[in-house]
Amino acid sequence: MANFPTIAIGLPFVHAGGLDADAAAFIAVAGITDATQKTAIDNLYKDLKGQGANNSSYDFYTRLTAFWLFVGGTSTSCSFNGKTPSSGNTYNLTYSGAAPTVNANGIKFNGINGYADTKVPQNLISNSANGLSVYFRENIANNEIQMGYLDTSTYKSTEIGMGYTSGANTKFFGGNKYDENFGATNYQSVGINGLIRLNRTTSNNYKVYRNGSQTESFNYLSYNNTDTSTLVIGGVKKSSGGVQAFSIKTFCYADIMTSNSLSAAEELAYYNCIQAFQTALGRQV
Amino acid sequence: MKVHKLTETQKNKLIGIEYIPNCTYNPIQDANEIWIITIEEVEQTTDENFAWVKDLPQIEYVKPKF
Repeated sequence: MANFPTIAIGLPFVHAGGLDADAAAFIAVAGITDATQKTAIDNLYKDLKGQGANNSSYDFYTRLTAFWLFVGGTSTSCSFNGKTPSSGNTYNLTYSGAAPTVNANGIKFNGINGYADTKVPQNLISNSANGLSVYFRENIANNEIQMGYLDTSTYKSTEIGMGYTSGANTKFFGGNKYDENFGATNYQSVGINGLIRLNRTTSNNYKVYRNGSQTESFNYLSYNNTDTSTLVIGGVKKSSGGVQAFSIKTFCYADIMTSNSLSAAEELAYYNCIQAFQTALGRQV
Repeated sequence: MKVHKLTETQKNKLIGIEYIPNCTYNPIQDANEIWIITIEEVEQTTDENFAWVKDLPQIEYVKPKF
């Protein structure tokens, strides 16, 4: 009997050979050649689309505005936006300051003046539903912001800062379309690394999640700001110009949802997707 | 940690300039409000128009307050 190939010809969103079409586009544009990385990327795309082994229920991909995988081992491969990937994608990262250190664990800035610009304008982010994520490895407290934007005239912000040292405590310090806030949790006991998500669920509430579990909830009404300054990774972009609060973390993933939030169940499922990706690459925490 | 000291005029000349592909200089002010760039940015400068950064004096970096 003849052996017929089992290529999924004609199936929507599936590349010949079984790769998700967007995963294949990312692999091509980022120049990924390592088989383990290719499989991890393909599985992540399928998971994000609700078509994978770690998530068959929720379509996160449609809700994502931009995400960065920090895979491939070069600053160029780490720069590509995973959403509809291409060399001309609006949200491909550009770097500034000392060039990042890149290895199999991800991308790390120098903590003095290095950062990546997402090009996502802060005014694009909804006041009633949005989300930001960073996944980083170090469980080290530091007065820094991992990702965000800050209005320096009002100190209202959209930013994630995990591990701010406040007296004897290690705190969440950030905001989501509102003032910069300290969280109530002392992260010295629970840890600060892994997947950190900022999730505005309504115009009057936003939450912080760590590794799929809620750690903070703030009942603050969001503010409106038409400033077109962009969010950065590795610090916080100031409305007055420049970046401050530079990060020393090794980033393994980041994303922005400008107009979608996640339920508690979705937060856990989303974490499972991202954690499976990091585990496949051997850089999970 | 050592960094390179800039004047205000020198800082303005570097803003927005790529020193390697897809990476621009980022002059910042240290805790003493002195403009600086890092040793890495200077070492990786190859454009002859900006070769003057190689002659910038080095100072000790003082991290600004959060």
